[in-house]
Amino acid sequence: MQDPQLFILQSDRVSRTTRQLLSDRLEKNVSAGRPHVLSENSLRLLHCMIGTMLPQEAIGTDVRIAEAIDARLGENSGIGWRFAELPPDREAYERGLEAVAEILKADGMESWESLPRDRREALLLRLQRGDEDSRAKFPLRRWLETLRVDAITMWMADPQAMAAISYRGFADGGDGWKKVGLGNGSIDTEEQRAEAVDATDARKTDEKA
Amino acid sequence: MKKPEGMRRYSESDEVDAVVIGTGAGGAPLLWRLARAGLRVVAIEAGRWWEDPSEEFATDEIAQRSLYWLDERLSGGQDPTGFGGNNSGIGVGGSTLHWGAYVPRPSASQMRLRSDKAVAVDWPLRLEELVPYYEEVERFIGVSGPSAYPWEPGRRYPLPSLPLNAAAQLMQRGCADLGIRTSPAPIAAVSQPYTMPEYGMRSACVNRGYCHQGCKNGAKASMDVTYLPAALQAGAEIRAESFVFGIERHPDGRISAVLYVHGGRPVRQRCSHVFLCAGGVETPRQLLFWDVANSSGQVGRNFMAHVATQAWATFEEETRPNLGFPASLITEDYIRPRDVSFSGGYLLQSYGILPVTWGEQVARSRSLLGRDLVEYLRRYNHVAGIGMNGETLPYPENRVTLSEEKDGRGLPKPHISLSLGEDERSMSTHGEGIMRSILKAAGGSDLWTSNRTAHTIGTCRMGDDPATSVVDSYGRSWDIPNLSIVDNSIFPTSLAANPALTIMALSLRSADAFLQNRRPARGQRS
Repeated sequence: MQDPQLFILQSDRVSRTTRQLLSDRLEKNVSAGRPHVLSENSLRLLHCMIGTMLPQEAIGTDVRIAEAIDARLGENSGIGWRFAELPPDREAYERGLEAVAEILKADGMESWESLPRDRREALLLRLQRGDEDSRAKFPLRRWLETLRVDAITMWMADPQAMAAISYRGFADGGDGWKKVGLGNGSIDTEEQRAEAVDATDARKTDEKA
Repeated sequence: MKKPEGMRRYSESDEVDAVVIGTGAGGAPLLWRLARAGLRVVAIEAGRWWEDPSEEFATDEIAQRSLYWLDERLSGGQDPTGFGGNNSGIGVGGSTLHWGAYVPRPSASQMRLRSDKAVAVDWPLRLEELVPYYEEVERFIGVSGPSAYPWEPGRRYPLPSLPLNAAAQLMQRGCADLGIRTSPAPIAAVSQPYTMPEYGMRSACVNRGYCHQGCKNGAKASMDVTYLPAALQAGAEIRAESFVFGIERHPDGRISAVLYVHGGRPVRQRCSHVFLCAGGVETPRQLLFWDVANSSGQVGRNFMAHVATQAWATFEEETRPNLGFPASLITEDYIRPRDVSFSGGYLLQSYGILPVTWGEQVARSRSLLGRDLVEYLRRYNHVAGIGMNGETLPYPENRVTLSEEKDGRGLPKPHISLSLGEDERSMSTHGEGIMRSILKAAGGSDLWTSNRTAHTIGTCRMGDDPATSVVDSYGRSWDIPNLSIVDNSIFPTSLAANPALTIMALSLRSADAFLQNRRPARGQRS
């Protein structure tokens, strides 16, 4: 059975503008061909670090976060500011990832993946705290903070993550929400799920006609 | 807001009575006031004109970053503050497109730090002078608030309060337990359909909760559904997607024209007065770039951002924090707390939040990773928070300067340096303690704190002395006779109250003073 979240995405509860947007985002996750700037090795390391930070297998999602970050660096899009201590985002990521690769090498490690899980987590924690020396010309912990923000926000923004945490706020239905207090906000009832399925079927019928 | 077909269009060579730079809380009210008085006024806005938010605004946090000022700013100092969605908007309506519409009024003591506490400076005007303007703004934009405000029982609001969401109910519960007074907060969103002849009918709030991402139905009082349609009706012109980069001046120093880029083409609009209303970072950046109006040396200095520490907790009950107005409860019990080491005070507000915004807080302020992080993110529907808005003192070394880097438009990126002092740190610690107690009393667990700051204030401060201020209490530049600045740059102290209501009140007051002082007949200017 298809994920009810995806039913809701197709239902009348979601505005056309929002539906198009979220569908595109789901699709981008799957398709290749997004801009990239990081080297293959750097991208792989980034992927591993993010996998340690946010192990998606623990929640059943498969958002391609590293690729999304790579694409944003390629598009030069940002949040309107960066730490003055850091170089522009692309350089911060490239230098930061090089620094981590050097740290692994200095420790005699082949790669991030060759570390056992608890050592990967310990290393990530030290990097986050700024407890590892590096040759990067900026405090690594600042870059790690940027990385944490990118990884967590890109994950949370994906419809897969929204489904995994039962978030349906985007399905504002045009009429909005009437009950917002404790115990009143759920739209998880069978009735509402059925409504969403009906709306999808009705649309499919309309499209065929 | 639809672009009216018959909008006045002035020609560049027309010397209009005023050019208003920026269409947010500073620029929009005065644009209306001046147009209503029959003046020929043009507003220049850097961002887009959203004609149909119900269609154009997505219910999505990432997509709606289109409402934030995304030109890169460099954030430094010991306590770098966030920009973009944290405090800076773009588009016809300015930052009010994404503001949280939280509109407590400042108390008199917040404008008198020097007299009362021997720190910072006093405002060069008294609260009493602003009260009639607060009342006018609240009525015009439609503020929903309680019938008996605990900290000023005589105050009346035009509309009844909005419903309290889960975060507000939890804060209410915790505060009741601890003997802290709370109230539904004054919020600039209409709780019922509301009509003003100047802008027509607005629908009631539907608790959609995406207020910081742009209101889709006009219930939230952004400028594009209040003062700007009123200004258009009164004959103003608004030019969107137009980026100001300079001015031209007469030999006597007065501004003769404003320079901007539109559609890749430079435009030169002649005018006899300029109102610069581009916000606490962009206004000083422009002035520094033009290299004017700075005989005091204060342009860019005294940058303040409110202590905006937040505390979060997890609850057994489902809170669904995306629902309802994000911040819908208030306490002003800590505006002037006793027996503390800091000079000012703070207000507390309940906090709902959307998932990506929450995710960013978690990323910055918790060090969770691995399964612990995933398990925590899974608890989104059970979190609620409380935030503070605390007075930050002005320090001259906290400032906006021009960096060496150029942005995509060829202008130097602004560098903002913010380092909080002991006063702010002790205030944050005090507030954190209170917020955590409230959350615990309400039944919260897994408490954590986000140390952050919000708003951009003070960088072209007002005063009585040209040696130490950039403008007078009406926003008039001491150095350039036909330049006024009206936005949160001109606040000499931060206040504890959120800035926008005061910006709008100052905007109307400045406009009235301007109208009073104008020579009556055209052609008789000095």
